[in-house]
Order: sequence, then C-alpha cells, then structure tokens
Amino acid sequence: MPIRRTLRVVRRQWRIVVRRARKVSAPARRAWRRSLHLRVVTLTLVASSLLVGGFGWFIADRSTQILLDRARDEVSSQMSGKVDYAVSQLTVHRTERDPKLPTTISNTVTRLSDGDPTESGGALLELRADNYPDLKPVISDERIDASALLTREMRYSVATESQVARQIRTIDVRGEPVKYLVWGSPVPTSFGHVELYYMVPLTTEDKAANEIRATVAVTGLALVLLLGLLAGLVTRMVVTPVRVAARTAQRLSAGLLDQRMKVDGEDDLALLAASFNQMAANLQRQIVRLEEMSRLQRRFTSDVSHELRTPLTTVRMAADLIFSERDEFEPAVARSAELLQAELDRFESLLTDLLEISRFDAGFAALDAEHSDLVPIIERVAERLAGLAERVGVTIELRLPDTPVIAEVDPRRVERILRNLVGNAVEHGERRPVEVTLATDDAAVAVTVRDHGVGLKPGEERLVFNRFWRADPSRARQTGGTGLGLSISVEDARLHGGWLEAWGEPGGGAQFRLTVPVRSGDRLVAAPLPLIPRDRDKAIDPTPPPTAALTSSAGPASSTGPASSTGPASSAGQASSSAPASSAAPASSAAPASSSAPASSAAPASAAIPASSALGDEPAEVL
Amino acid sequence: MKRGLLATVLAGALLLAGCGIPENTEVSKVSDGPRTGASFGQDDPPDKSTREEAGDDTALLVKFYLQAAAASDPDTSLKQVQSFLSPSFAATTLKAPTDVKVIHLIGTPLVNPGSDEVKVSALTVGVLSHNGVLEASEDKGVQTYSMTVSSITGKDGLFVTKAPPVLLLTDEGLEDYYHQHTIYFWNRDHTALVPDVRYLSADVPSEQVPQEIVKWMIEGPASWLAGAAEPLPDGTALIGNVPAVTNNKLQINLSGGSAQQPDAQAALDRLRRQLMWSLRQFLPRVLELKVGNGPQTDYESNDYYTSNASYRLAATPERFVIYNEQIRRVSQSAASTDPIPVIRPENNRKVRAAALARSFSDRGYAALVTSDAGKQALQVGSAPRGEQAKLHPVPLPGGSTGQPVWAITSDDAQTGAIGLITVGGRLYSFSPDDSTLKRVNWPGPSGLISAVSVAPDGRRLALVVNGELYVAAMTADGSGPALSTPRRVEIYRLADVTAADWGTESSLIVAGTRSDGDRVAIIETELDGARSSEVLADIGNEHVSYLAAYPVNPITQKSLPDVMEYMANGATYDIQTQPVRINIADLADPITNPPPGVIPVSPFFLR
Repeated sequence: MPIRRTLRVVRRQWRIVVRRARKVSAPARRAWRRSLHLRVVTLTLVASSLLVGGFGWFIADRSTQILLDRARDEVSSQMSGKVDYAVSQLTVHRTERDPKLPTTISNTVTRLSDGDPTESGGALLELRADNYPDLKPVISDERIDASALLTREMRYSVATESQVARQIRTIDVRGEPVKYLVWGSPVPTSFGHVELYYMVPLTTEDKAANEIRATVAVTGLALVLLLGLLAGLVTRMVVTPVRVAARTAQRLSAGLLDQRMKVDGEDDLALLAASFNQMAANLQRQIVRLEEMSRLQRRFTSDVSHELRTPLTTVRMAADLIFSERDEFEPAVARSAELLQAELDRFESLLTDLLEISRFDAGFAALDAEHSDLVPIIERVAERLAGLAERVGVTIELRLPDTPVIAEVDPRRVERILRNLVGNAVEHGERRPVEVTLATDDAAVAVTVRDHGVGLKPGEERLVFNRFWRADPSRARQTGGTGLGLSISVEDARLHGGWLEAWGEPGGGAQFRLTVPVRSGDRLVAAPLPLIPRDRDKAIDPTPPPTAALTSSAGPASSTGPASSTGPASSAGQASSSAPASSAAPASSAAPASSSAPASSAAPASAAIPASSALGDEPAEVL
Repeated sequence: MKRGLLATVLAGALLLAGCGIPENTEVSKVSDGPRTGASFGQDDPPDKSTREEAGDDTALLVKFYLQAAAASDPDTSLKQVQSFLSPSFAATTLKAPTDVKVIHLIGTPLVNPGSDEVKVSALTVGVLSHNGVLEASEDKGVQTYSMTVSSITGKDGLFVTKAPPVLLLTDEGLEDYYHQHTIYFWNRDHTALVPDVRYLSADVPSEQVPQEIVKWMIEGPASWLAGAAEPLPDGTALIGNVPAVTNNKLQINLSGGSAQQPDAQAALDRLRRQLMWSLRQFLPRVLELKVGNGPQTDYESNDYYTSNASYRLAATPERFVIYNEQIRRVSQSAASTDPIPVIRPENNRKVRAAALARSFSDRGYAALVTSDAGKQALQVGSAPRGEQAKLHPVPLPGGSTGQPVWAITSDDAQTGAIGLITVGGRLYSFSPDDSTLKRVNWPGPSGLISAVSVAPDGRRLALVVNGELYVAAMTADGSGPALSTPRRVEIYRLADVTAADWGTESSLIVAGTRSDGDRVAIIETELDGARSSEVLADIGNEHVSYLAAYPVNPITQKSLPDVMEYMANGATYDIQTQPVRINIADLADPITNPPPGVIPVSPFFLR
C-alpha cells in the first residue's frame, strides 16, 4: 500500500515537474515550432557539434596516444640500456651479503642518472631490493619522495612477479602536480634480482597534449559556430523570401490586392515570386470583375426599382380611382378592382424592400442612432400587429420591464426588425400565443420573440435569413410577405453592431433574438436573454451545445410581413436576469457573427445536433 | 537553444578532457623481466681457520692466529684477528686496521708447556699494503714476537691475551689465502711493460678480480717502481664496476684520462695493451674498452704480447761463451752456425767478458771488456741488423770488472742505449755513442756492488751489494741513468748472495751460501722474497762468481728459465737437474788443437 501511495506521490510530483517544465519551455517550444530558421540553425549546431566533437576527440586522443607511445618507446629503450648496465654492474656480486654491493648500487644509480639525458628534466632512478630488506633502496634525487610514485602493485609486479611493468602516476613536486611515467624492471643478479625503477616526468607530453586539446577545442568551437552562422545565413537566404511571400499573401488576403513580391534573379525563389505575383494579378482581376458585376447587378436592381416606381404611382392612382369607384361596378369588376388594389399594395412593399436592400448593398444605409426607450417601440409594434393577430387567433404577450429600457438605437430600424419578427411569429403562431420578451443589462439589450408554431427544421436557422427564402414555396400565404423582411432585419441589426439569431425545432416553435449594444459602437459579448427558450432548454437538454451553435447563425431576415394582431406584452422581466449567464458562451462565440457571411459558414456543423431532435417542419418564415 | 549549445560545448569539452594523459593508471605489464646471460665462477673462497677450531692446542692457535689477517679488506682482516683476541685485550689494542706484516717463521713458535707465553721468531718479508703490494720492511734480521695464549673462564678454547700490536701474516698464509697477480705499467719511454707483482685475497670472488686489478693499475705502480714505470694518465678512473665476463667479453669503462693526451690514439693503444697484459689470466676472447667519450673498441687478438719485452725474447737463446779471449757460440743453441753478430772478427780478441743485445728494431749492440797487456777497456758499438759495428773504446777505471750488460736498447734518440757494468764495486753506465763511463749513483746502503743484471724490460735491476740482493728501478733521462731507492730482497734460504740474474720477468735466480750451512745453493725467488724455491740445493762449497739466465717467456707460465749458467771456481756450468760443465766440446765451432788449460768462461746470451 505504501508503495502504491509513494508511487502515486511520485507520479504526481512527476506530473507537476513535467507541467512546470512544459510551462517554462513553452516559449522555446513555440519558437521552435514557428521558426524554420531556428530549427535549421539548431540542428546544424547540434549535428556539427557532435561531428566536430567526435573528430576532435579522435584527433586529441590519437595525439595523446602518439605522444605517450613516443614517451614509452623512449623510456623503454633507455630503460633497457639502464637495465643492461645495472645487470653488468651487479654481476660482480655473488651474494647479497657482499659488503661492496651497497656501493655498487649507489654508484650504479649515480652513473645511470648522470648519464641520463632526461635527468635535468627531473627524471628519477631508483634501485631497490624489495626481496632483500637489508639492502637499502637508492634513489637518484633524495629530495623527491618517490614512495608516492611507486605503488605497491607496481613493486609487486616487478619484485615478486619479475615483470617489466609501467604505470603513470601524479605527485606534487614543489607544489605542482607532475605526471610521471614509471617504468620498472627486475635486474637479475647471481643471488636473485633487484629492481630498477625509472620515473620520467611527462611534463612536455602533458603540455603538448593540453595544447593540442585546446587547439582542437577552440578550432572545433569556431567551426561549430561558423557552421551555425553559415546555416543561419543560408536559411535566412531561403526563409526571407518565403516570409516576404507569406506577408504579401496575408496582405493580399486582407484585401490589398495590389501587393506584389519583388522578383530578384532567376532562381527558384524568383520563380516563386513571379508565380505568386501572377496568381495575385489573376485574383485581383477576377475579384475586380466580380465586384464590377455585383455592382452592376445591384445597380440594375436599384434602377429597376426606381424605374418601376413612377409607372407604379400612375397605376396606383388609376387603381385607387377604380377602387374607390368599385361599388359602381359590377361585382366581378369590383372584385377585380379589389384584387388589383391588393396586389398593388404588395407590389409597392416589394419595391420598397428591394430599394431598402439596394441601399444596404450599395452601403448607403446609415444608422440614425439616438437614445430611445425600447418599451414603447415594442408596445407600438404589438399594437400595430394586434389586428392581424386577432384575425389569425394569436395573442401577443409582452414581457417588458417596468422601467424604460434606454439604448442608443435607431428606433425606426429597431421597430422594423421587431415588426418583422413579431409579424412572422403571429403568422406562424398556429393560434398559439406569441411571447415578446425584453431584457437588458449594462452592455446589451435583448428582445426575444417566441412562437409555438411548426418550428424550424435543422439547418433552417441559417436559411431563414436568406433573401426570398421560403420553407414551403407551394404553401399559400395568408399575408403577402416579400421574402426580404428577415434579410433587411439582419442588415439593420448589423448596422447597430448587434446580433439577430434564430432558434427553432420542428413542432417546438421558434424563437428569434435581437441583441443590440446599449451604447452604439460598443462590442457585444453577451446577450441578456437566452436564444433557446427556457422551456425547450429544460425539456430537450440541460446542456446547451446545440443552441450555442445555432445562435451563431444569422441569416438574412424576413419580413415586413403584416402583423394582424398583437397581444399586449406580458412581463418578461424574470428571464432577463438569468439569460446572460446561460447564453454567455454562445454569445461570445457568436460575436463576430454580426457580419453574416462568416457566421453562416460556421453554422452547418453546429446546426446538425438539434436537427436530430427536431420534429416539426414548420417553415421559418413567410413573406 | 542556448542551453542546447552550452550542453553540446560542455559535452565536447568533457570528451576532450577525457582524452588527455591520465593522472594515474593501473600497472600494465610490459614483458617478462630479463634473464641474465652472465656465468658466474664457482671458485669458493678458501676456508679460514678459526679460534674454535684450534681447540686447546696453543701451537695450532698461534698458527691460525698468524693467518687470521688474510682477508680481502682491512676491516675484515682486523675482525678476523680480533676474533682470536680475548675481549679485554681486543678492547685495548688493534682497534684500527693497519697494514699486514708478512713474516717468515724461523723454526716453529716456541711453546713451553705450563706457560702461557709463546715466542715467535720471524724474518719480516714485507708489509702487505692495501693495494696488494708487498712493500719492503724496515725490519732487518730475525724479529722475535712474544705473545700470551690462555683460556678465559666461562669460554671455550684459548684466546690470545697479549700480542704485538701489528697484524701478522705468515708467508704460508700469504700463499694459501692470496693469489699473486702481475700487473704491468709502461716504462717511461713506452718501449716495454714493467711488471709489478701484487697479491689479492682469495676471498675476492673471481668476478671481482679484474676490477681489483684495474683499480690497482689506476692507483699506480709500486713505490719502488715509481721512477721507471709510468702510472696511468691523470684523471683515469674506473666508471662503475668491471662486469663479470659475459658472452666471452670483458668490458672496462674508464673515464678519459688517456683520451685527453696529445697522442690519444697511441695512448689508448698502450692502455689496452697494458690492460690486456695485466688481465691476461682473466681475459676472455674479447676485451671491450671504452675510455671517456671515445668509442667502445673491442680487442681480441694477441698482438699485445709484443709489448712485454720478456715475450719478445727468442724462445731459444743464442748462447755465447768466451773461449781463449774470443767470443764463441755454444753448440745446440739457436743460430749456432752463424757468425758472431755485430762484432767484426778482428775485434773479437782479448775479450774477457761481453754483452750482446738486439733492440726491438733489430739494431745490434755490443759491449766487450777487453784486456790488452793488463789494461782493461770497454769496446762499445752498435749497428743495424746484418751489419757489423765499429767498436770504440771506453776506458775503464781500475778495479775488478764485472759482466757488462745492456739495459736499455732504445731506438729513441733521447734515451738511446744504455749499458751497465760494475767496476771496482761501483756501478757505471755506458752508451754506444759515448766514449766515457758514467757513474751511476747507488742510493742504497753503502757497499760494493759486485754484480748487476737487468730485467727484460730494461728498467729493473738486480744488484748484489755486500752479499745482499737488491732490486731497483732505473730511470734514464737525458742526464744519464739513475736508480730509485733500492729494495732489499729478503731471502731466508741464503746467508749471502754472490750472483743473480732474472729467471722470469718477476723472479730471480740467485746463487749464494745456504743459511743452514756453508754449502752453496742456487735458488729461485720472487722479487719481494715472499716465495722462493731451490733450483740446485747444493753445488758444493765454491761460491758462484757469475750467473746468467735467459728469462722465460711469461706466456709459457714456466717458473724457471730453460737456460741457466753459472761460473764457479773458474769453470762454467750449465744448470740442468744438476750442474753440467760447459766444455770445449760444447762450442759451436770445433776447436782443433785447443790450448791446454783454457776453458770456456763468462757465458752470456744475445738479449
């Protein structure tokens, strides 16, 4: 058990360490991921360090070996001469008790060290007789303590095993550590053998080895740095044009279509630049052509609308005259006159919407913002649509706060939006109440319009905002919508910097939410009301991921559709307080969706989930 | 990146640091140790007799005591002697080593039963110095040493409780415990090697003998030879030991005294000849000599033999006698049919005595003592080989004239040739180019010089003065020959000496009256008198007036010459196993009608 616990602790600590290491190394890893330059230079440095280090080690090691081998050969050859001499000198002594033996030993050491070329360099010579304790060892230089140089193993090898042996030892001589090559050989005599040790300082060799090592190290380091520098320069030569190309491409994508790369030379990079420039030129040409076409199209629509208005006015005057005189006509003619009047009304509103859309497309639409109270606006909308509501048997319930809700909005456009939303809701209300809720917080004001009609099929949340979109084109309309109402509403909301979002499910009805900032120009981060109605939210799924996706969708919106009847709004204050929290996440993710194009592109993936639970096939909107 | 770089550099530095010369390593074995190629002698030192071996025998103890000083070095010598002494006596006397006095016992030591005292009568032969020279002693006549031998309570055996405070060694002990070695020095004009006899303890192992010999040589010749023999050049020293013979080679390494001489090459050649002669007994096939910084040179031929004048002597001598006042060859000797060399036939008359010699370069020298109408004269001359010399007379002073002898026959103009002759008890020198005799000063005790003979090297003389035998070295510079302080040769066998000649390069043939009677004997003796032997123990009671021997070649190792002749009672004898008289029949040229009463006299050799 304790082991397991210990292991757990260890694992935990390990994880902490790893996490910290990751945290600490995060900038480095980021730099590693992002910079090709850095990667190439680092890899070059590492690889060249290994290579140069390996070669350096090899060279230094070989040099040292050669130096040592030379020293060994030298010492070996000298040693053999010395041993020969000592052997010959000791031949005259038949026993170790010969009283002249110590003299011979002493003289031999003196003679050998006097004739030694390395003697001035501090070489030592010692003649010992470890097998004959009565014979005192004699050393050429008494000032140096040779006992540290002659290890027990060395003496055992030479004295007991009769081997010629060597060893490297370091001792302090006058405070400086000096390396000695110790060479020992038995010296045969007629009574056994004594041992000759020759200790040669390796000062010169050591110095040479150190110099070689330092030279190799410095050269290697310089080589590595040079290689790194070289790699850096070469990579820079390649990476810089690529970076320029990347930057140019970014600018191009940001709309600066006249950005071009500099073509320098005839190499591959020049070819890349030339190709890139060609691509940019082609794109620019295409885009300009498409823009021109689009402009012409919008112009055409606008012109047509304007041009239709003049004859329409004339036709309208004539139609009004006929309509006013219809009682005097035969019933069939009178009916035609009524039909004519109705269709002319519809034609006129279609033209009005088209002109409005044209203004938006042409960028002529301007926000005329002022501090307005939204409560009367909502009430006014409900009032105007009350007739229609009554006709279709729908009650409009207003849930408005008791206090004024002041926001910096264009009241005309807000009213148009709400009229569209409430009109649509009444129209698709299926005789069930339509709830209009208003809520606000410090930053935003939200209005939701909830109906309990057929709802929306999965994916239709986006489509409802498309121009002239119909859920069921064959279905007869009770009121004549133009199919442009929600599109205009979306544009209006966008002018405010606000959101217009839809939610719906088959059989569960639909809810539209308008969110605008309290202060014009502020950026929206959250809506005070949830997009998904509270009843559906709880009924379907406590977690809101599908709706979160849905809310991001905003399509062209609909209707200026006639609102027949509007129920007075009931109080909806209770919703406003809790709404922002539950919808905070979706709202923030939907923030950029005030421009419709990117938002709509993100919709399909997220819209798929509620689709599985959607049952109804109620069209989202009607003209 | 910086960390990585740092780590790489550090790793590189560590790698590099790992490849320097290590501070300490394990012992690594290179090979098996060398095996010696030298062969060692098997000669064990002779056993020494100890005090304990003598037991309670006083005479034996005294005998052993008188041999105890024989040792290879003074300290051991003293220690051995002290082992015979009672502790209380040893504490007061003989505390430091001294030279060893070599004595010849006269009779046996006198031991009286019941008495502790022992009387030892002895002749002092000489004093054995540290360098093996048996120097002459100042003692003369028989010395009596008294000592007491007694037992000490609580200890076994006998002790010498009182003894003279000298280290004594009998000549028997010298012979038993010492080996005689002859070393050589060049004479001053580098024409021949002068032998110098030394004694080396038998305790010294044979491997060390060459080294001891070389050391002696470096120390220089014996004092009595100092004037005639040339020491090694100053600064000559032995470097290290002289190793035992290995691979049939003897290696000698000397520091460069010889090499610094002007005629370095010749000096080196002389040195090696000198060494080779001195080490002849120990010389293997090759002598490897290195002097100073010169090259190692191997010498392996026997060409060095010629440097010794004794070797240069012909194997069989050309023998001459004076017959009927004429020089005649003796039959059955070398070149017996040849004419008399150097001398013209017309000069070969009225001759009483003569000396003929031939130099190394074959120049002939002649010195004739003639007597014409009762007037004696010396005829001297020299001539190249094959030619005959024109003799010129040198007047002789009055007095009895001895046998002339050629000492130096040098081709060197400065030294020239020197002959010696005794006239009226004095020694004179003459030369072939000079018409006067030169008196040679005798530095020894005053007396009449009755005979002189010259060693083959021409530098050592044996002289008979007042019936005693002396040896002396002769120097010859421009002002004529001179003698070094002579050394008396103690010959216990003879009471007096009448004639002497050189038998070998280091021994003399001496004739004289025996010390144990009045009979005449011919003996052979070392120059230092340490050893002698009888050649002819008894040749009657006529004293020998003249003796001539032809020195033997040292290579032959003979101790006696092949040819020895003497004159006694007017007759000439050849020494064989007994004296054989030389008659007319022994002359090479047949004598028809010999005059009566005329017999061959004054035999001599072409030297």
